This record gives sequence, structure tokens and C-alpha cells, in this order.
Amino acid sequence: MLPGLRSGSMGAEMAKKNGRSSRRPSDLDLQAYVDGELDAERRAEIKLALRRDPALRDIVHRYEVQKRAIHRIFDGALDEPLPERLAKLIKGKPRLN
Amino acid sequence: MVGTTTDGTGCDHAAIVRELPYLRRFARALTNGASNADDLVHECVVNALRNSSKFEPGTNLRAWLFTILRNSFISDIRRNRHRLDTTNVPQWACGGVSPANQEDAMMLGHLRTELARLPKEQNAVLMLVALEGMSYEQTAEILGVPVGTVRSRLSRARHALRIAMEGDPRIAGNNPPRGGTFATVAHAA
Repeated sequence: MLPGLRSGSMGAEMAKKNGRSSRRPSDLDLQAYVDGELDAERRAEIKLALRRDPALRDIVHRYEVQKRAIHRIFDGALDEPLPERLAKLIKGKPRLN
Repeated sequence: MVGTTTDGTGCDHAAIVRELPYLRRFARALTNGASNADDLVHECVVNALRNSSKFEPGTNLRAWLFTILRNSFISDIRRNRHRLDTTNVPQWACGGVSPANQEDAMMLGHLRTELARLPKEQNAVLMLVALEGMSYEQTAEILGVPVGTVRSRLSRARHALRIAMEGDPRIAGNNPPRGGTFATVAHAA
């Protein structure tokens, strides 16, 4: 959600008062959003931009789909039993020097 | 995630063992499902145990291990070892995935082929961030490149996938900046 000060002021005027929010999010902004790399303020600004622009929503959606698909391709490796060689290596060998 | 020995130096054996699933997934992702990706993990664990005193307590163990694994991967490429044959991706070699339907399986298969076609340094960034959940900062550290490079590689990788998966660059929109060096393969310290 928007920070308290700006809640209820979703209009373009308020957005313009804040220099950054009037700028169309770049591709780097969108992926930082998807990757959880934004601070709360910038995140709220991107959210606002997403609400207004279906094209941006579409890009974010694709990045999220990509991310989930990549997990589905490789997550199987997390649960596979260890191959014998690896199991042997880690079994009861705390000292290797 | 971080394990330290009782004397507060290095990292202990058990802590490394706990990271094994993630090391295996990362190795699988770097090599795009090569059947011998676990050889990379093996090499990584041997190196980690041998150098465990160099691990700085309080830092991220997984990131440290990923750095070691990634360096082995790069050495392998330089030595032309063939575990990394990503040009010929086997159809659905990754275990543990049970796609709900055929169309879904085809989409994942297609995505995998496209991942294999990404420049390796772009693929590595994408896997660290999108799969392993590393922050941009951590990813930069693991790969020994600036954070800005992480961002741009990530953007290029995602853009390439978006286009490939749609089959039409005209509807992909919002082009990321082009240029920069793909060829630089940074060795993390």
C-alpha cells in the first residue's frame, strides 16, 4: 500500500509532486520490483504505476511467470537423493586437511 | 544458514552439508541440467572443506559456497570439459518435475532450451536472483562484478526470454539497454 502521507491521493497531481513517481518505470525498475529490491517508497510508486498501466502489469506478470517456471524446472534437484560419491564425501569426514 | 565452528572461525562440516540441496540446484541450473552437474557440487564441497578456515563467520555461507561452485564451473569451461554441453539440451532431463499437462511441459521445455542459449554470465545472474533468491548485492559479490552489471545482465536475460517465449519482439515492448560486454567472465575472488 501507499505510505500513509499519500494514502487517498492517487491522482496524477500528487504523483507529479513526487519527482520519481511521475517517471514511467524502466525495465530495471520493474525487475527490481519483481526481485524485491526496492525500498517501501519506490515499491509503492511502482505499484501505483502498475495499477494505471496494463502494459507494465503485463511485463511484471511475465517476469513472475518466468521466475516460477525456472523454479519448476530446477527445484527437483532440492529433493533428489544424494549420489553415492557425494554422500560418501560428506559422511563423517569433518576434517579434510 | 551460516554455520561456524565452535572456536568461531571458518565454517563447519554440518553447515556445508545443510547447503547441499541448494548447491545441487545451482549446479543444475548453471549447467542447464547436465547429468554430471553433481561433479561440480563434489568439487565445490571438497574445496570448501579444504578452505573452510577462509570463510568469514557472519557472512553468508551459501553465497560463499556459490562463489566456489561458480569458479569451478568457469574453470571447467576454460578447460573445455564437456559436462557443460548446453547446446544439446536433453529433453526433460531434470527430475522431480511433474507438469500438469502437455502444453505446460512444452512451455517448460521451451524455456529450458532458451535458458541454455543465454550467454553463460547472463544465465548465472538470472539463476542466482530468480532461482536462488540472492540479492543483487550478493549476486554481484558471488560473480565479482558491480551491482549495475548484475542489473543489466538480468534485464538482458529476461528480455531475451520474453522475446523467445513470445516469438515476437514487437509485442515484448520496453527494450532494455543494449550493448555492454557479454564476453567478460568474471572470476569471483
